Amino acid sequence: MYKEMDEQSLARYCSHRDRMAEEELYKRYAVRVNLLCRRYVKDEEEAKDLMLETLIQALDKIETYNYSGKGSLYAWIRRIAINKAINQIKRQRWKMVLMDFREHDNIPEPTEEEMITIPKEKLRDWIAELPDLRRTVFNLYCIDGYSHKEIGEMLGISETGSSSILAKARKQLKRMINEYLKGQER
Amino acid sequence: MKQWEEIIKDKMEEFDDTLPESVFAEFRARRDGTVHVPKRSRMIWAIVPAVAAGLAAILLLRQPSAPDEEIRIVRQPADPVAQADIPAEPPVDVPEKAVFSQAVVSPYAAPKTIVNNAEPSKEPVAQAAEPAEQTAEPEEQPTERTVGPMVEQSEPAAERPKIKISPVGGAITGGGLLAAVLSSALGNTDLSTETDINKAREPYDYATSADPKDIVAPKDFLTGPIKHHSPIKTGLSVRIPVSERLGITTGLEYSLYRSSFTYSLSGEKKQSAHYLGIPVRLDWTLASRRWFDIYLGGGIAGDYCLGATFDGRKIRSDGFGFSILGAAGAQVNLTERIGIYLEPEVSWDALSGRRVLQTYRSENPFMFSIATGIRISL
Repeated sequence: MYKEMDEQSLARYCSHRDRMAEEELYKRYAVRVNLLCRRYVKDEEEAKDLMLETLIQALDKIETYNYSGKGSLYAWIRRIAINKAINQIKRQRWKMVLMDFREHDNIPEPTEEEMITIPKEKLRDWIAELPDLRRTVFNLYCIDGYSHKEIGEMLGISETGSSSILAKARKQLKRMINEYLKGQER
Repeated sequence: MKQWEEIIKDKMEEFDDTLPESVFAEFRARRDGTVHVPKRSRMIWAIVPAVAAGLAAILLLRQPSAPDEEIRIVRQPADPVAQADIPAEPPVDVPEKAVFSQAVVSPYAAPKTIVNNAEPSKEPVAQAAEPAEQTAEPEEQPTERTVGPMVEQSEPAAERPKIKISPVGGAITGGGLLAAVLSSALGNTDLSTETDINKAREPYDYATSADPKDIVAPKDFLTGPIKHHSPIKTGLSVRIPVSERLGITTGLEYSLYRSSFTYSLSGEKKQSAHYLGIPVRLDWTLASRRWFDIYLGGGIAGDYCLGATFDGRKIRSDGFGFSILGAAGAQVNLTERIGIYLEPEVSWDALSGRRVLQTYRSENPFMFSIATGIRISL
């Protein structure tokens, strides 16, 4: 019964603290939310904690969820997860700054063919290696589809600041991708 | 043709992963409230700056060091010839022939007693008001007899005058003392204050070993150049990040200033002065890796002399002072938050009447030094 339940009904059952409905919500979204959290916070254990906190907060506030079409429940949970991740990153120090002394970005962009050969685990690790702020901006802009204006508001930085950080994140990722591709050629 | 970022996005979204059963059990337990999840507390990191601030407050509120002192009431010499010549004096509030004397209790200084044979004036009585508590505890006072042709000390506790301080007077005295301590600690750095400070200290600067010149013999002259060694600086530092590159750095810094003086008779004598400072700097991270940071910074530092020795004896030390500093540093990160730093720094010491010692810094107000220590990054 719960497995076939649509998002709206699932949310309604969850709001009545139906344990089976809650379990179904976990089964549907836990893995995806965990993957999302892994992109934002480096540490696997920290990501798991963040995922659990997200789901519990979502269940606590499920009455405030408004159904707006298929996929809206995940979009709502994802937003909670991203907000929590950003808050967590904000509380921590902005970790590593790259040792790049304003050098020009003359690193060639990898082609589609090259990108296909790269395992997704590698890509995830490289994103995780980015400094906190760069990783957050890259995730928000390139993967989760937020605009620089929205990112600026979320992180308390300017739009130009956001695009500048994104440029640095791109450059760093391209460097890592190119180094990997060169290693594969040998 | 897809952009490389789009391919990354696709690959991230097609990730298929699983979670162990234990995670669901944890979810269930948290949801049911059967497991308490401790909040990640950052209090521990707040303790370090709190301790630093506490120590800073203690340093600020501490008076400049001075030898322990006591005020004694001593009888005038029982000199029958002298007494026969002097007619009997009319009785006054203070017991007849009782005057105040101050004695140094210092392991290094020979005890001397200054005796005022004149009639008790207002000045010594006013001086006596401050250490009134000391006279109130006669049992704990060590019995001290100063051998001298003019002075005999013998004062049973019962014979001492009792000085009563009313609550209002006590409050005023307390307020005055607090103001004096604060002004002493936070006092201005104008050179002209030196005279005033010395004047204020004058009654206490008797028989002092607080100045190097009192430690060496009178005919033992300073010969040859004074050698000031580069200071040694080490500390516990805390960096509070403001942005990705900017951070406020503060903490506690210990400095050791060593100097050598050569005297004609006694030869070389060494002076050591120990300072505890609190630098406050704005640092700009030029580059950072997991294990290594390079940064530039500038700010101010306040320091206080914890103590100074000359030829192994304690001497009067510097008071509170300020300096402006700039540093270029490198830090090796041992963990995510703890690192060891090495900072070549230049500083300019603001002229201060509270600096009484001759040190590397007094000779070179604009100086270069290298500081090292442990840093906690919040």
